Amino acid sequence: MNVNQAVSIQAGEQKTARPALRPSRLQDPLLSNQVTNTATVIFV
Amino acid sequence: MRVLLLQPPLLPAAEVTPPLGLTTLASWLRAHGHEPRILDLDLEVRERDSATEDRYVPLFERALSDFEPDVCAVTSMYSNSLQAEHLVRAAKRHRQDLVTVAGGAHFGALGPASLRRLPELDFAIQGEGEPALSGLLDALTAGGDTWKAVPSLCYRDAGEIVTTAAAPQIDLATLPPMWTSLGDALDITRYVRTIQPGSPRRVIYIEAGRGCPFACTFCATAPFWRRQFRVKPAARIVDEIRYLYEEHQYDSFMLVHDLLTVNPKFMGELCDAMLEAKLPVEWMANSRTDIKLKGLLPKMKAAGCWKLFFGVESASERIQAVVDKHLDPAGAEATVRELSQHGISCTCSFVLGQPDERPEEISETIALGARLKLNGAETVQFHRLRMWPPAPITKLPLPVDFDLDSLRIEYPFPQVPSDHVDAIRADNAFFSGYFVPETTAGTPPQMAQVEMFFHHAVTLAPFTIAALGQLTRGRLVPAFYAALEAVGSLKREELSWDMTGDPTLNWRTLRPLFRSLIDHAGLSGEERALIDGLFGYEEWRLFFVTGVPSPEPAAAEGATWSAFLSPLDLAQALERLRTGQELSGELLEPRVLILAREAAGGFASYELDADQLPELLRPDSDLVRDLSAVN
Repeated sequence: MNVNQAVSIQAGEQKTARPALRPSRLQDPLLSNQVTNTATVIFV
Repeated sequence: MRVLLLQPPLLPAAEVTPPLGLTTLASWLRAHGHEPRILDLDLEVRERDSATEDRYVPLFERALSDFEPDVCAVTSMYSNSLQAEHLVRAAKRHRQDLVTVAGGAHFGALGPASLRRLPELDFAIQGEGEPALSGLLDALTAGGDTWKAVPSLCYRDAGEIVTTAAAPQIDLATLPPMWTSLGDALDITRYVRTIQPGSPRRVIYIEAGRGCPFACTFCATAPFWRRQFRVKPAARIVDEIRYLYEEHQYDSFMLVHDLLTVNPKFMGELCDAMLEAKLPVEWMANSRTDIKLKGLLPKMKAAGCWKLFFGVESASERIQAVVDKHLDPAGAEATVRELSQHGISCTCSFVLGQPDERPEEISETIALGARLKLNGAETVQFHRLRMWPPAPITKLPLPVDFDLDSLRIEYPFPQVPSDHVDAIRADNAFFSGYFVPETTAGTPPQMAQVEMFFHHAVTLAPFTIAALGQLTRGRLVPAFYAALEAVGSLKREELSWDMTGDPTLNWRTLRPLFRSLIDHAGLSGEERALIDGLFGYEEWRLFFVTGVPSPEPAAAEGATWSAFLSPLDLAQALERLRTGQELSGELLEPRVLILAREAAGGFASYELDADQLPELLRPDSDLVRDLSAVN
């Protein structure tokens, strides 16, 4: 289960407000394999 | 005839690939009845872990005794021409009647000058080597002085240097099949063994063809091949790829050609042949950003195209005209974006320091390089203009300065002996590749610093450089010169040019100058806050991604995640920079940015309102539990 799923399940089960992680629209090529040569990018 | 084909030591790198020019020559000479053997001293010194300057000549002398050739033919790539000369002298010491020949990129461009420099050299071959060398060997076999009729040859005659008429360039379809026709001329398994464990790619260079029809003033290879575009048949290229993959598991092919994509019809044929071959390999090739490949890109990607190389050269339309390249800088951005959308990466290269170039033009070029990085360029390279013969610019009587920095980075060994520096500095005509023209853009030391700093800064912090380029409005380079005055110069040996290493080491080297550049950028308070936010983000992201403890503490962190308290809306700022939109003060809105490492090696990013930061500092909070569950 990833955070998105966790958050959506939580949102469905509870109506009470709680701090929620928001997926960022951040698009940074250095989060791909261009620094480490091994990592792969996942833009959320 | 028995001919020893010599590759002098070339690069201080662990992985070695077969010397393409000599390999092609060996296959050609065997097909013409001769007995070639390649002695690749680049491979020999690495294999013996003896990469010091004093070892390759004894290795050569031993090979001479073992093989006893009739002819020694040496190639060089400028950076190893002194080593080539040492080999020619050693050959004559070994046996006075051993015939010595030189060709390739440097000697082949400066045949008569090579003979003038080197009394021990008997012949130089100008331009394409195959027909001239086989013709020379045939003539030497026949005896007498029939070699005087061999085309593309330079020789001495009664103290005069004579150059014969140039041979017509060959039809590349007449080259023998390469790798299967080498016999004992080359043992490819020795090269395969140099591939480092864990290398993401098993890379080899193969020749797709020769010649570019364009006439860029700084380019040496287009005139070398007389600007005639030639290709090997597509089926032949695929046969070479199949053989190297199936027999030696090479899976990444650098298709060597000055401008392979200039003929889209051929590219279509090549892609069709690759698709039919169904090989799990990838390849890269040289292109121009104004060659319309749009319709071909899906097929190229499916056929294994991993990357293209573009010489973008400058963001200035004036400089584009000065260098006879005539690219549209905005078109370059569109092309890189289009490639990226098709999953194809690229390297973008720039040439800085045309004689009348202005610092403002270089500022715009650096900013363009950063934007190209943001739009999908894997690598952005800045190079100073240098004088490589037979490039058109080398024919101009320009004042030049010796460029020790470039020599040090390209020299085949980690240390350049001072007598070698002196030898190269003393012969501007022959070693003009290590001289840079004087430019109005900056002094030689300033230009060397621009090349070094921005190459690495765009690699590691492209958003900050793109933003500085935008906010300083053409004054990026003058601000950089002021920063140099304030904190001093970078030392080349403190920077690694091998991008497989730890990039945070380069970051630490750049950091004081980078901070000083920001200090000298003449920014308003709001602009400074934007830049500080971008700089802080890029530093934090670099250390987190590479897994190295950051010099600045994170706002909060767990085993697999880290949080950055950003003074601005980073997602929107990064999007504006990528698309060339203006940054402005309304972006200054604090928030928390979180990166979490995923099991597959990627990164997920999240945002929180700034006032939620205390939640991240409580190990038992829901947020921390959620972040720890990222997979």
